[in-house]
Amino acid sequence: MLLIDKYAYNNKLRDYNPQAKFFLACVGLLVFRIIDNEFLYILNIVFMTGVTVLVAKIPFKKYLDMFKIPFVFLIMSLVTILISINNTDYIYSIHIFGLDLGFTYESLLKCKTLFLAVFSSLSSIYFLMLTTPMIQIIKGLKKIKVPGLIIELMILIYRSIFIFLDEMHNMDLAQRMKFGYENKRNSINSVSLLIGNLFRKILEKNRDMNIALECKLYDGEFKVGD
Amino acid sequence: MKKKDLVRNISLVALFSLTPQITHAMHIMEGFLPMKWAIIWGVLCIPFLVMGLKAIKKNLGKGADEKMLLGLVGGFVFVLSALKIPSVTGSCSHPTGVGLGAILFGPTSMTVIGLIVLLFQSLLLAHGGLTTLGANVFSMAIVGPFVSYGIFKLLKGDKKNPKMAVFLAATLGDLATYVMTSIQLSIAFPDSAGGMIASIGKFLTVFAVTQIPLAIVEGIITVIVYNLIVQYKEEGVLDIG
Repeated sequence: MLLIDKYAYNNKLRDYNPQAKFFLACVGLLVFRIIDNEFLYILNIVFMTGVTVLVAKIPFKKYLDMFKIPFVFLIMSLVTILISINNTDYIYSIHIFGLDLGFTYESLLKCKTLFLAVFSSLSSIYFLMLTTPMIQIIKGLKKIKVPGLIIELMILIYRSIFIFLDEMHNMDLAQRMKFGYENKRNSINSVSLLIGNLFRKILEKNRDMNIALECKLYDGEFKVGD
Repeated sequence: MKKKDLVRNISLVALFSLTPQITHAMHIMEGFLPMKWAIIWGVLCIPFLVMGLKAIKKNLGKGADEKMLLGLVGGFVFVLSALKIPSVTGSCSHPTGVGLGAILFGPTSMTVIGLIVLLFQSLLLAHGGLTTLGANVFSMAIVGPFVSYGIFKLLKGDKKNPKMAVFLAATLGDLATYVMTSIQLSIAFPDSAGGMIASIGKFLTVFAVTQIPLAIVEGIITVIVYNLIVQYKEEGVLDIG
């Protein structure tokens, strides 16, 4: 159900040293982002895409689809940065509501660089998350001395995500078969019912799991990640 | 404090103050913020996280099950963000009435859960990012929850109309997140002529198109879920105090 998670466990680079993969992603995410050079960004995009698609064997079409996820946010923010109000040296501008709206040469350049920066960072992070299973990431975090409580909570949350995804999927399917999402009114009602039921599940699962833990002589600490 | 109260309180606070913000608010994408601002927002989150960890730890000594509950609540919040329903957005609610005055886990411990959920969102759903995690935690797991929590606390004296309190808390919490994100973006990218103020105006206007209807829909859903949970409670389906 979580496509990215599925690929993280089924790719050719899965067993490769996680520290090396993390280091490689960090170069693109941190070092190149600080240097802020367009040539390096393009280099990073080409390299990361190459490694992800050709070496790790992630299907290229799915990989491209992933770039659509943050696209709306990107376009809206870029347009906002591009347009400036009541400036003087516009290349192109319109006059509405008593305001001069337009874009300047500098803002155009800034947007171009930012666009490349975002795509370079995205290709780095996609490389990391498509080739590294979550358990390896959690182990890595444990190694760099992230507080034990956070690690424990991460593992518990990771586990319960799949419990709830399954529950949600079943409920959603049942609702769709009964035309629960036919129109807006129904949709809002169905979503609310689904959420209310999921909430009930939290309390149910909590009770069940506590019984299970008590049976296993749980003493307040999960020994995980070793 | 009885164990049952604890269970009730954690889930209520989480539902009510965390879910609307994190599920469908604006996640600043990977690499969008310059490194300087990514670091500054990250550092600003640290005191809240420390407070949250302390709050959780303080209560852990009393029993074992809170950790499990927090884990389940985190999974729940994450899953709601994976709900894919066109033009309708998921969010959640919070049954009022009983014992909210006795809330143990304030919004601070939810900051910790918010951090982990946002991390998973960026790694499993490609919402948000690692470098922008600090900024996203600040707007979605700190500002939003504190605002809705505060509004609910303020309005809950009004026993006659708890629905309005729920609606306002969810909607305004959502709007607070949207305003905070706009501010974060405009500090990082000031307008070349008008400076930061003009930039805030620009971002607020552009994102209003998607965020204001969203906030209202989430408010409505929150009220319906709230009613549902109250109904469950009255019928004895739920054992939450």
